[in-house]
Amino acid sequence: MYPDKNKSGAECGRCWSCARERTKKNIDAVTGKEEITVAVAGQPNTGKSTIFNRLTGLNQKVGNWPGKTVDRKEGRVVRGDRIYRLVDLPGTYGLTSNSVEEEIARDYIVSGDPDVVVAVVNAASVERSLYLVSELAELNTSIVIALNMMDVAEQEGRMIDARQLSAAIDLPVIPMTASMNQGVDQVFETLDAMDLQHPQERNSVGLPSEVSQLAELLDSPSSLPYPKKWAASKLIEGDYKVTQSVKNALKDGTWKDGKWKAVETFLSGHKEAANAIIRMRQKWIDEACKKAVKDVKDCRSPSEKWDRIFIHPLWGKLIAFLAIPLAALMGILLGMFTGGQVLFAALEGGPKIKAAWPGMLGSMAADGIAPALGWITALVCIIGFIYAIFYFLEDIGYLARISFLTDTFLRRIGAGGKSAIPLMLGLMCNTVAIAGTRVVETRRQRLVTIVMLPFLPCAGQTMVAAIFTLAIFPVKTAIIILAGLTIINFLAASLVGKLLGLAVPHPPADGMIMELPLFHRPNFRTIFGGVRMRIELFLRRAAGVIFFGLLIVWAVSYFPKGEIQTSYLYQFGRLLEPAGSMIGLDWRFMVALLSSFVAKEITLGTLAVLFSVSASDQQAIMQAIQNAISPAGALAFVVASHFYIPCLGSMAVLKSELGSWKKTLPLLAGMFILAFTLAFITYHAAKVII
Amino acid sequence: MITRRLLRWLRKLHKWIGVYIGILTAIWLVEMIVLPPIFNPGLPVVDGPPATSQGYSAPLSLQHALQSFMDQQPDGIASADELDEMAYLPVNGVYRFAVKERFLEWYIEARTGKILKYGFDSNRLVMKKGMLGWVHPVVSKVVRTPFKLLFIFLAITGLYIVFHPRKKQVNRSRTGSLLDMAPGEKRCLKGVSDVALMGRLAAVGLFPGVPIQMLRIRNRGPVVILVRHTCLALGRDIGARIMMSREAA
Repeated sequence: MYPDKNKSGAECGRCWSCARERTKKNIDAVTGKEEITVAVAGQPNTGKSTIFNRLTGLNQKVGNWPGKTVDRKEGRVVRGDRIYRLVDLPGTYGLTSNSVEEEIARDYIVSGDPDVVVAVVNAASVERSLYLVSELAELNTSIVIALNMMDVAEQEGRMIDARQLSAAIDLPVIPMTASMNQGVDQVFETLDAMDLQHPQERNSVGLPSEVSQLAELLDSPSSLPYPKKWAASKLIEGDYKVTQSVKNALKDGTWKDGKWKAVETFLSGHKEAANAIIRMRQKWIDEACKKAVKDVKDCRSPSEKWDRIFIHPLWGKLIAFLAIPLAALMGILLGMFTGGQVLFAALEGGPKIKAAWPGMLGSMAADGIAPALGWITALVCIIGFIYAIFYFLEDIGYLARISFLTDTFLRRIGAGGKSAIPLMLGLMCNTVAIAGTRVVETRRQRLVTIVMLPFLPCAGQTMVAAIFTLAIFPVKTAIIILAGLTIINFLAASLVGKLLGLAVPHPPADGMIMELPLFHRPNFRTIFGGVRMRIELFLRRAAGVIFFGLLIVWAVSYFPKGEIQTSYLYQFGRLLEPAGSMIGLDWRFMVALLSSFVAKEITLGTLAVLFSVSASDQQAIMQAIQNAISPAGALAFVVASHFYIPCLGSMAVLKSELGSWKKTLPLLAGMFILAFTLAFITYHAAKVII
Repeated sequence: MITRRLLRWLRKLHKWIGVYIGILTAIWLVEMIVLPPIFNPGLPVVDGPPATSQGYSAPLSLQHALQSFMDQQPDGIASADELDEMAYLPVNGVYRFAVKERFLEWYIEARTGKILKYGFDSNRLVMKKGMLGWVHPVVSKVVRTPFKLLFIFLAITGLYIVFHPRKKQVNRSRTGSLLDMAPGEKRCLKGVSDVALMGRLAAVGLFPGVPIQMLRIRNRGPVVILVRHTCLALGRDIGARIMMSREAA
């Protein structure tokens, strides 16, 4: 993980001191222009993504940070004889990491990779958002400050003098209102004028003497992944990750354990130093703001008025209680009215294609390619609309309120406040819900949410269960069974979330610290930029898997003779008959369960084909089910279907969000075993009772 | 110990059942005002059969009554086929014709076949469509079913609470932390009891000496504070570790 200790410092190229030695120009091989890496960093709620979108336009590349399922956006801008490579960093409050996102931003800045850091500062709360700058100023990287949201500051009755601020901290400060495209060009003009070969002169925070003392202790041929002085200050501040890394690096070194012992003794002897560091930063910020910031009037912001309702323990919860399902439902409905139509058309057109084009190719087009494309279009539309609603709620500031209200409850099961909407979505469509979990803040909470989601019954599963129970039981019993089953699903999901939450380590001081941003008008550019990115990522990562998966399923249900009744799927179902008889199901139901892997809604269609009744005639299907299965078997089938592995689309998204099959497959295997076990128990218990 | 816990739960239940019944009552009231104009096609409102002074004389046959009814060209109905209820009320000496689906009814004098009273039955509409019955009959059923039971429960818990009033917790330990602040109070931050937390809090603007205004604090759940133009929500575990100065800022 850390550079090889045998290599000398000059060769390792990874540690701080070597990376910084790269003073020569980075020349692009093709154009011969100088390439400059610009990191866009800032605290959350400073309008960072808006600025990034304005700076790069649509010329963006999206991906993940290496090894992490956290979005990484990059843009290239050519100006004069320079190429700017802009990298959007996850929002971070400071350089002390509390989540994977903050760690990524921190590690990237500290790595020395960026030539310049554009630090976005919120003018409406300068004192707070300058904290990140105060930490950045301790590093050697050049800094440009983008003083965003000048319009909001003015509304709030605050006057920020950018020139005074610039003079006080000796860094270029550009006042801007990115939402109205003001000041964006000035950022580039400032960057153009910067001489990156020489270190920038700046007025940085004067750190207490303990920091340099500790830095000297660290100073030896060691392979620290961080600059020494910075690492020293972070050690004093008690940063969990830095402490671990330094500990490992020093234990690797020539001094063995003794070195780390010395550091530890020093730290325990200078506990007050952390206080001093923070006080120095505070002094730095206060001095910077003293002249530059004037509160003209102390006007109450309208946000406060709204918050009286929106975060009220009763009214706020009631509103959120309505808003969350509404948002989820609206996204799905809008998607169904657009992309869903394509899917329906593809399914309806199937017989026509087969008629016009008999044989294997026709069947492949009608039952394989057309529905696959239809599904992908429908999912793209639904995911697009869901994210549009998400980002809209986030941009106007309401998502933070929902998060605040649901946080206490969801934290108990290991998820976070922002998981509320994805979890709600899980009741409608798991695929969309899992794809929607990127809004959940920390990676740990997101992991818990993602793993919980496949356990929630989606609309398709509920429909299948409804038909089955209604076919066998009276209406009242059927409703009770359905409701009970859904509750059991919820409990199972919570239990899994809880267990996972306990298993995944989390940094100390994990409690909630959440900013409630001011309510403001949405910026549709940012929203659409985000939606575009999400769709692009879905198409790139999951769509292909879904497409080929559906084709494979078509193939096994078509070959060798061209009908499902003799297909490999059928043969496989026959093979599983002994297992099926253990839970009271004959081969037809096993095949139906197998095919539900494509999409849960297909279960009934497959059964209809196997019973040779019309798929659109629900009465006939119910009749056929009634004749073919015992009540205990039906119960077992419903239980198995509710806990069975998620559909293909969900699996593809699951893999793309969990990052690897290594994490996905155990989850799927676990679900498979759980489904079978529960069905087994249900079948035998029901047989005794009924 | 168990009784105390029970009492707490009862109090909570009482509160939420009260909220439930309150909301339903509010919905019901709004429905009483809103639903009739929506469903009424513009006919007068009737409530029950008319009072007639006629004695017991031979009524017209149903056929004749119907014939005479249609001859009078009643409002709101095109043909006799639409009627889904035709009944003779012997006490009043009238026929009642109704379109139950649309809540319309007509009272016809049984001897002469004259329409005495007709129109829209608001009461039955509210009974049928009220309490969210307009959304779906099942919703209404689900919402209504526990109503009576809850009312009884509310009465019992109410009495229970009257006899066991809440005892104010007098000696709430004042640790001088953020959680001791009252809503609206403004005090300065003195320090943080945890080094790792200190840096995290400083990053969101919570430095020692900074004035903090408490916006929202309850018996449980996170607190909301205003610090340097930023609204922050803090978990209680974090709030407990933030020490505040005693005097107001």
